[in-house]
Amino acid sequence: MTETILDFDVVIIGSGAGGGTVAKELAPLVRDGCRIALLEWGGRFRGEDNTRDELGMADKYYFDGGGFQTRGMDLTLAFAKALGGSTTVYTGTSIKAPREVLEAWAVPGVTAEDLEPRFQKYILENNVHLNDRAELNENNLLFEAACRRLGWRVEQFPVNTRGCEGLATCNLGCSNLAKQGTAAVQIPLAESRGVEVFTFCRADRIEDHDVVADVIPPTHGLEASRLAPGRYRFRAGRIVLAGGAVNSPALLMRSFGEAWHPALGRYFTCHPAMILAGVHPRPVHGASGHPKSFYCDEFMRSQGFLLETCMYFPFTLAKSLTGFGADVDDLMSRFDHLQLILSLAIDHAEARNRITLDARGEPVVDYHFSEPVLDALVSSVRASAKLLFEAGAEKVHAPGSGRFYLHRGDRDQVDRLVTRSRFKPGQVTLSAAHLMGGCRMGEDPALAVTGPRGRVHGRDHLYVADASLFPDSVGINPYLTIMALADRVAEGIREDMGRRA
Amino acid sequence: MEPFLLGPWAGARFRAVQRCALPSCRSFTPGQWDESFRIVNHMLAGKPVSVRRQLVAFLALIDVLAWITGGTGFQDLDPARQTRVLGMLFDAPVPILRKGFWGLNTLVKLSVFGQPSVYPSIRYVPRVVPHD
Repeated sequence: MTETILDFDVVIIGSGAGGGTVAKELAPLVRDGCRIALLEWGGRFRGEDNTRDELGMADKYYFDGGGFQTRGMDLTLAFAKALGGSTTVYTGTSIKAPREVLEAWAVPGVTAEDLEPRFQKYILENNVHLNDRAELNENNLLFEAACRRLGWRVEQFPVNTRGCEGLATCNLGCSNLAKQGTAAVQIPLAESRGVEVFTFCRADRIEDHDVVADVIPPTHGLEASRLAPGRYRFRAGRIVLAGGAVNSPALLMRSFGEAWHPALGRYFTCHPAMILAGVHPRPVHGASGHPKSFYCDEFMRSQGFLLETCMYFPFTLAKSLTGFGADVDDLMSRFDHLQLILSLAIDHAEARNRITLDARGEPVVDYHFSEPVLDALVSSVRASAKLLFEAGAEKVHAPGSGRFYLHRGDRDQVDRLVTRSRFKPGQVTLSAAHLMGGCRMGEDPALAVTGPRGRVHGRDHLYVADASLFPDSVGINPYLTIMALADRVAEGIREDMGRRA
Repeated sequence: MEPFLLGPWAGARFRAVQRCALPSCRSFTPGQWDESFRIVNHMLAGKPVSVRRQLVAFLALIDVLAWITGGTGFQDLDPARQTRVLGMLFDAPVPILRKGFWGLNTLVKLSVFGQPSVYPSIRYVPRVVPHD
């Protein structure tokens, strides 16, 4: 196959929270004559490309249309390909990694003190703020009020929106581009300073200092890449991987072999999550307004789960319901009466949870639910049911109870009715969007793929700058932490290049 | 009429599962039935042949269970017996059967709730703004 060779000083693969941040941080080097490329597998979305059509947008944005399943077929992973990566389809929640998490990671230099100024930088740059209470919808306010009545700690999510119109379809892309992800902030800054962006460009493998990539024709009516379709060899002094926790390890494996590094692809975590629904006797109208305003971390340390407000779309909600038949129809027919909660288990890094490659070189994810994770999920169903009843729901869909609905009369029996033995993976819908690990950082090359600044052990010109760096789960929504770590990686690259921004 | 990607044999059985798993679809218009197959066909078209074969095999398994428990194919069982057959798979002690049913059930949900034409009947009212 004919290859076109292009020469750069730095090639960044992936443009999400990590890659977009590195591109912007290194962009000032362009004025010194440095040539920087940002490669993105997906396309560039304009506001009008985000039509809010549930199935159409899932096809446009997500790998496998949002239905990427682990090998065990009991967990669905959601991750996006688009300029801006998964920051195009998140809700904009922006939380700092807790100090105790960073201490448990025990990565030299990755401390609360080191990250704090970086967090502050992106809080300012990406307009992270608390929405006014007047903007919060009832789905969110019911959650907050019930938590307070139950005496549970509840916090408002800082979000990074600007001009949000409350369309509540954040996970399908934002049609008025209100989310201040990397596609809205860091990448335009990088481009204005001379970073060259190549969309629809899929990195196939790394060969020494070359990134071998295929530019594909545009899909879904999106703008074509600036390069003609074909195979390219991006020759680079330094290469930064930021393709996310599934694709960054996979790219390293395609390039150097699965056994190249003992930790490569391993220690994958993802905060397995479920959607719980309560049916209120009156309309709640959760389909309007920012969907994710509060979280409850009351049980994070004691029982290993987090509760968040959420709102989804008809198929996504139906898919998340455990069951079939008239009960599903009944719940779905009351969409405007629903209060929804997302519960997330805080899983911990295990070597057996890992990325490997199939015969075609595509990533396969093995994820085993540990007993503590299953216990956390069961406990989260109980807590959610109590919260939904406290908020006023007349019935609650509670997987793990052996019935589709728990009714108000069951309220005091929730702990007895929802049991581990009735909670069956493969029957309950579990999904995850916080994908972490696979190229974990750390000082010991036997246990970590990269050093504390993201430089791959044994490869001085190769770096990782995305959530795959996380040595363990972060326990909260990860994007701000990814950006802060990417900022550290960019700083390290500048130092390695002997320059400072 | 939209043909089922996996052929008329599988299509007839899939439609019977749709009617049992989500009874609301029994009131579908011909256009909504067509759309339900179009959505499933689009999804299956992007899947490996092995996944399509698994779906056909699972539909055949449902028919076998129907014959064992009711003496006839799934399509000809009464709704209560159909529900019992699907319930056996939904709550099967063997994980692979539960996972297989989850996949089929998800496909049915996709075929019904993936249609914007059902939004009014379920009272899903997305916020509309002038630039939409």
